Amino acid sequence: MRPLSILITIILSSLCQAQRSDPTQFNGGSTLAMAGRNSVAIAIDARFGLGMQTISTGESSDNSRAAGEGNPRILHLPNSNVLLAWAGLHGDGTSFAEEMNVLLARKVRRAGCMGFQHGSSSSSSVVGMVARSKMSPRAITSLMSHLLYGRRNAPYYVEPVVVGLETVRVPIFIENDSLPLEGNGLQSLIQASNAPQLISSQNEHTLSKQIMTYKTMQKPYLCGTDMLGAQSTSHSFVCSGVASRSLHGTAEALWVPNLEGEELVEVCGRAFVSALERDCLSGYGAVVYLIQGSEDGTEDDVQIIEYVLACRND
Amino acid sequence: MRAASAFLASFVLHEASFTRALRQDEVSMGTTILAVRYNGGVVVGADTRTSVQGYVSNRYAAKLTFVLDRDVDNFIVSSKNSSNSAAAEEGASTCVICRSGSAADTQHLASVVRNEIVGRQLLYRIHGTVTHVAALLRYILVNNELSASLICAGYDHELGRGVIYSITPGGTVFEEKVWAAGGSGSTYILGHLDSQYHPKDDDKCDEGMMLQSEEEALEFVSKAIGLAMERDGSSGGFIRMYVIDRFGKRFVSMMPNNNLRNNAGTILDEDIIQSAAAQLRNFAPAISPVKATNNLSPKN
Repeated sequence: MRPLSILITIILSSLCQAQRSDPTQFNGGSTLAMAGRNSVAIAIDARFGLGMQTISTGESSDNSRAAGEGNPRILHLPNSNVLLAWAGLHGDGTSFAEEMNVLLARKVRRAGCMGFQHGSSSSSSVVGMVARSKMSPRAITSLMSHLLYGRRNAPYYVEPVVVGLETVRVPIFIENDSLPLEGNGLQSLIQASNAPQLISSQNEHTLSKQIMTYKTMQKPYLCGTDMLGAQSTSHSFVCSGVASRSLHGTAEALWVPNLEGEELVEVCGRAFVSALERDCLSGYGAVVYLIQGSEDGTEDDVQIIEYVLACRND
Repeated sequence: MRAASAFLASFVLHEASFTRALRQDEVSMGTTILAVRYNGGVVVGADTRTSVQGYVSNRYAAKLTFVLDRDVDNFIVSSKNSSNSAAAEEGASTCVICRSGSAADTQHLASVVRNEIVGRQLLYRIHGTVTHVAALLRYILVNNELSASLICAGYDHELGRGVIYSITPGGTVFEEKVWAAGGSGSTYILGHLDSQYHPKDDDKCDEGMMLQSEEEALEFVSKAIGLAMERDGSSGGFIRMYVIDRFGKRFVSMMPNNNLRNNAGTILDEDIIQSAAAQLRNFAPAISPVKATNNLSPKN
């Protein structure tokens, strides 16, 4: 009588085939990226499945689920300021990752850009190639959109997300009689740049201000694209993957501006894990990567820190 | 034997046309349900997830519905014992239906069956048994096209032991000697269950080959359901279990252990369940970083 019970359960499992039709949802996986004051964080999960069945959960020997150690999500790291991750059909995503790797490697003149170097850091130069200056996240997004739209008629079923810190030039205004300055952090910037000399500004209208100097600083940059390369940038968060509807809700509710460092990781992690609890096709691990800029927005000392979160395995 | 299973296979495949495919927006309890007999009764278990196309609509659903409950049904007086003052020793069955398939269909089925069985108990002045419930379910399923795959299990006071009936969507009822598993998640654990209790030993089960204590049975059920929840996307949440014996039912709930190197999970009591629910009322669970690695540098 046992064959009967086996056959009946197989029949029932074939009834749950609703997920098979959409290629972007077939393998599962989600990402969420959030911006802080001078830092960005991106959270990725670790599930790889075929419809409702889970095949791999990216578990490695020390239970870490870090990217590049068996985690099905692939991260690109062209330079220390930018991270690129995607969710979607895994076969297409791997091809997309290889193409991006070739293009990025040529532009930043390294042998490859996928994944992290865990353990001791090695030299970043390859014989015969001279390192160029850092490629901005905006440029990487344009490159990626071009690549994706190039396959307009046979698209890659991926939903990539680019996060990073981009260098912007911020003009500094000063009133003629040194009244308190406007804007975010301009006070500290002035102090840091040794209070440059006044240029003439004798004018009654307050609209007339003299631009004293430009200060370069790093600002967060987030951009998500659809499978054809249409960009949508945001100053708060972007998300992609099967749980994106839930992620929009939790991130919208929990995000506040000007989050710092670990606080940003906390908020991004909580929003991500909560949304994953409501999703069948994502989960089995959550890893948050924080790109932490320096205090005053200069380009030195950008750190990337990886946080592995405890997560449910269902 | 081979001809019999071929016949059964063709019968079942034909029967597949009697099941109704789930609609696009229908709530499904793609699930894992499991019942196992032990020396004294049965232990039934189920996960707690209901889903609609990949979205989890209920994380803590109850898929185990009681249609006969010894404690609740004490208004029913049997004609055998109407003059007997020792009514407490009278036998009564406790029967649970483990539901999988469409949530709407199975909830309705359980409600209809409960109605029917109470009506018959009052009309004929008897105590219903698990076998009666299974027969009623068969009657309804044969005549209606529903998406419902059920396990009907409990303590049958006329047979004097625990009993498990597996009921297919077309209405076939057959008794399982040791264990029965159902739902989409059960396919992942059939090998695991067979390795513990193989069907070839079914006829020896009454000679003491089955599980002896309820602790063993609880561990058997929770480990198996935990494994299925890891693999099946439509199973998840907690593990709800009931121990059913001749005195009634007892509820046990477990959180599945994520680390499969250990056995089963941790038993929750009511306080912990309350605080887990309270955590959810704060909207987002606290995250606990396991490891933080600083200063990652790009490869090459």
